[in-house]
Amino acid sequence: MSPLTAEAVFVAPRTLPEVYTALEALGPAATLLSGGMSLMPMLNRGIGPRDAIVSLGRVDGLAEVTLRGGRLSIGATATHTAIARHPLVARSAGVLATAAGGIGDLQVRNRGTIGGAVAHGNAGADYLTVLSALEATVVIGGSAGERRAALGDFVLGLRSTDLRHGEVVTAVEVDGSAPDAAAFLRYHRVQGAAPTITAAAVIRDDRTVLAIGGATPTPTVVRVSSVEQALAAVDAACAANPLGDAHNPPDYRRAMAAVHTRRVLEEAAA
Amino acid sequence: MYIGERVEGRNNRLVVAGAGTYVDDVRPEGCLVLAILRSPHPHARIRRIDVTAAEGRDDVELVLTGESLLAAGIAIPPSGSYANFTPRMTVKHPLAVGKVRYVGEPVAAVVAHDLVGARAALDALMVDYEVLPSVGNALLALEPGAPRVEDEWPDNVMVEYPFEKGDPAAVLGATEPSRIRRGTLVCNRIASTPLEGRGLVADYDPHRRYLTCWASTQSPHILRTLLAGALDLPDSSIRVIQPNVGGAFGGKIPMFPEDIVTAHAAIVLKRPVKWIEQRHEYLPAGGHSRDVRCDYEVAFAADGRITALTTELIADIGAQSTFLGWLMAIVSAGCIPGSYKVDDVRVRLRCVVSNRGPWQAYRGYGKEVSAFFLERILDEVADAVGRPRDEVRERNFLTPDVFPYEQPSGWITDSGDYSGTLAKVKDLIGWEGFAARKAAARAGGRRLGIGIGHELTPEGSSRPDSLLSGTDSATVKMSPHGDVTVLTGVTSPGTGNETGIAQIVADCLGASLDRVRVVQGDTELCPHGNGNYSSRSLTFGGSSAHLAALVVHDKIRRVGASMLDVAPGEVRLDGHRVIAPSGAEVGFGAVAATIYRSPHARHMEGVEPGLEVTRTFKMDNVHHQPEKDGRYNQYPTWSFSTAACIVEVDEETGVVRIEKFALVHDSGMVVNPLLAEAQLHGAITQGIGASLYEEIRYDDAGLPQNLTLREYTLPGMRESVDIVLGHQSTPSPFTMMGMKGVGESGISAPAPAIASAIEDALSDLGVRLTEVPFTPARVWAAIQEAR
Repeated sequence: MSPLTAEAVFVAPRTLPEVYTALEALGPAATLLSGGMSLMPMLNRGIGPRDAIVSLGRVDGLAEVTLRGGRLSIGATATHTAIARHPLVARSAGVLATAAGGIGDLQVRNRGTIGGAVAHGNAGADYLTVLSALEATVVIGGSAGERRAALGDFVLGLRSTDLRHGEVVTAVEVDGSAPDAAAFLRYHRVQGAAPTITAAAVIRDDRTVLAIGGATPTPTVVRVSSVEQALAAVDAACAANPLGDAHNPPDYRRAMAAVHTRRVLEEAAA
Repeated sequence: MYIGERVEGRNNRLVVAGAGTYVDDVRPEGCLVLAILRSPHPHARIRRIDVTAAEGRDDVELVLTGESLLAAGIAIPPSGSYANFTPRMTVKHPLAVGKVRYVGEPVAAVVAHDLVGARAALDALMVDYEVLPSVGNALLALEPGAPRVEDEWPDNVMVEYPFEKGDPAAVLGATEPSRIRRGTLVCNRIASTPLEGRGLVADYDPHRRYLTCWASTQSPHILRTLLAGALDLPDSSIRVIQPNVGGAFGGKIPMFPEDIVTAHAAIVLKRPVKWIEQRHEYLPAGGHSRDVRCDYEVAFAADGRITALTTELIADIGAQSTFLGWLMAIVSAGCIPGSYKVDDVRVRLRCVVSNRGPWQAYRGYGKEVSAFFLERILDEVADAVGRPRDEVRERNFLTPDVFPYEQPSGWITDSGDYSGTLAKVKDLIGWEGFAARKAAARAGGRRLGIGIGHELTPEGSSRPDSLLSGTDSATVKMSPHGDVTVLTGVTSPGTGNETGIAQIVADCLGASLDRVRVVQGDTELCPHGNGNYSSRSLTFGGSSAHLAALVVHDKIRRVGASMLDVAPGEVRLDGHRVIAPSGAEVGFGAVAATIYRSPHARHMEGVEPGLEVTRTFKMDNVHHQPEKDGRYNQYPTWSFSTAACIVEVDEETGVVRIEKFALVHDSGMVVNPLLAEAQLHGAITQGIGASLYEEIRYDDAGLPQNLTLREYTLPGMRESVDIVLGHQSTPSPFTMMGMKGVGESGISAPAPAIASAIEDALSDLGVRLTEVPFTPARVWAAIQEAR
């Protein structure tokens, strides 16, 4: 069923400049639609503006995965399934493919996109956590040109990002050389449910970056010097910015953040 | 013989092929779409509803509010009387009048040309609410001076149902304190969550004054009668057709407010109108179950024998609208102490209304609540006396020689052999020798535990002075070509009872199974029946079909014998033939042809023409006349099961994984083991869901916390468990062929079995689980508390 009102505007441009033009013409009420796996259920429940939808689904070339100049670039509309199966992702950032392959269920993975997930900025989202550990850069396009932001700077809070009106997340970039070791853990209740905790660790040379999602409004990212130091840092972050709901309250998420800190570091080091 | 055979369900291929017709597939020409505006508030007065903008839309045909329905004379007065208690009742309104009492309560309805238009019209409705103080749960609702859910009531208690046997207070008073345990147990709220939501398509013919409804319902005849009452139409002016149903589990026992609103809209507009429930409507407003708290006191002897038990039950039944789900709490109370012999017992139940959503029937129908409480208490007593948990159950079980046994509630249990299922399930799970496995696993850093849980499942509910009283007729008819059609008043929510009924009729007639067709779910085709609930499709519907088939059998026998020129007593009917001792035979087709084509000829002398018979089975051990015989019993058959499981607990996260799950069930004589097992697989999986995954939560104000299936974490294939099943048959002495119901068996035992196993895995920590479901957060918290 369609969530749209009878008077709703739906546009599906073929190029990014046309997307920017449409966003400008429709004003702040415009809603960007990518795979729709988070957006459509919200619109169905009457959450958020739904009078003007701009779809990215038909923009040519926006789903491309490339390796150029030592950077792996993943186009915004690449689906989770495509990312999970892409040989370039497997070679350069296998942990990202692992994370993509565990999202939701097959139907969601076939439609959901990485750009959509990053722009949605939900706490605990698989991509936010793994991309944080991979120290990813978000590529943001707009009529004024392109800008880049570190993921940690882009995601401001729970479902809140630095995406400004008229802008579109066009790609995500990570280091194109495979890390020495990496691990990703997803702790969720049932198949298809959002994760309670996601954890990623990426080891490159002597540097270990840990990211824990789901216990704080945005991923907690730690440059790891020891397991104890990582545990303390994660715990301090959970205490400072707790996150939780009736089903998984903050104290439980905080404890699980610690458990998964240890487990993901062990797995990455194994 | 077909009875006892593992005949494949007749609907299986249709369902798997996606070839079923469900209510949303019913699309009459020009069908309009109805959508419901629901309350966003747990408790609020409706000051005013401004419908101007919605009505002004070109594509909107009708806007309905509580006031407009009231003006049309639609309101549901209280009806029905109950044997042992008197509930406070209210007049029920399909759309809220005056105030709303839960989030999701229907407030207004719009009918538009399509769903897009209907949703836009909902947006255009302006409701001015005055938000009232609310009570988000039963304990808050019981506080002195609490806001009242029903303005006319003095407090929030809808039903008070106490009963007592012996003198538990005296026994408790005389028992030394070390042999007494007190505590609180909680069954949290869940929802049946069928794949297909509720829905109804209504089409009114003004010329014939005839309303046709296609409904995703369990009971077409009941829905027809209730709709006729609500809409002030003759029963005969309404036809209810049940298309394929995509799961029901009790959740589609009629009638719902939306049914009335949709049918009324179709009559007003004289056009077909469709309402299809959305998932976000279902979760807060489609009806919940459980949500019962139990404060108990138990006294016991040194060997674990329970000498006295008192339970104070508080059922949070939410805000009752047109739903009858609250009766589940009565069953929870009535099944204490169930399978156990306790001579001094007191039960006091209070059904408390709150600003949560209303209850609606769900598989288990309250028996799962009493099973959880009783089994947890048995485990606690076993631990207190330091005896094995299985031994303490043996010590307390009713023994096979006591039946029929009158429960303290007055209900009469037909038969049982509870030690039998316990012994068998211990074999299946590997009870002996588990201690060594557990120790070895522990040495390797893993925590395994084993547990058992027993359930008692009274079935065939026949409530006095209600439409669900146990009247399920069946018609068996044979055509001139000898083909058999069974029309039955019981329906199938997709479970395959039509296959079982066909097996019963084929055996009774001596017919070929492939020439017996079963037709269900249409009030104009099928004789009156209660539809599908309380696992009674075969015990009632199958027995009625059997009675009707006997009459057809007799006529075929007499006419066939005449055609073979032998005495009727000499022939037998088998393989769709009448067979003489000599081996001479005549096919049913030829006999039926004779009956239809030559009713006045030689073979039909003294035989009434026709081959269509309707019969209605009456259950002998349902008793509704306590004033006459001192007995009251609404449950004729009492199935039971014992479950055992092995779990692994991750003590860091509280995550529980079921390694092995076994259940031995006893539902008397089984007509089709394959279908019975399918029922058990489904029920056990739902029982596991309610033990580990599912929970409907509210905050203290009554705001629901599960708006989508992302929060109501329903188990899927990844969470499914390999289930090992065993059978035992203790026939009912009261039913045809000793059948008992099986549709609910297996949903109650998982929670106590899993609780028991989790505690065993953590036995060195002394963890106690008192609240189901055992979510990781709850298990983790219990571990922290024990440390």
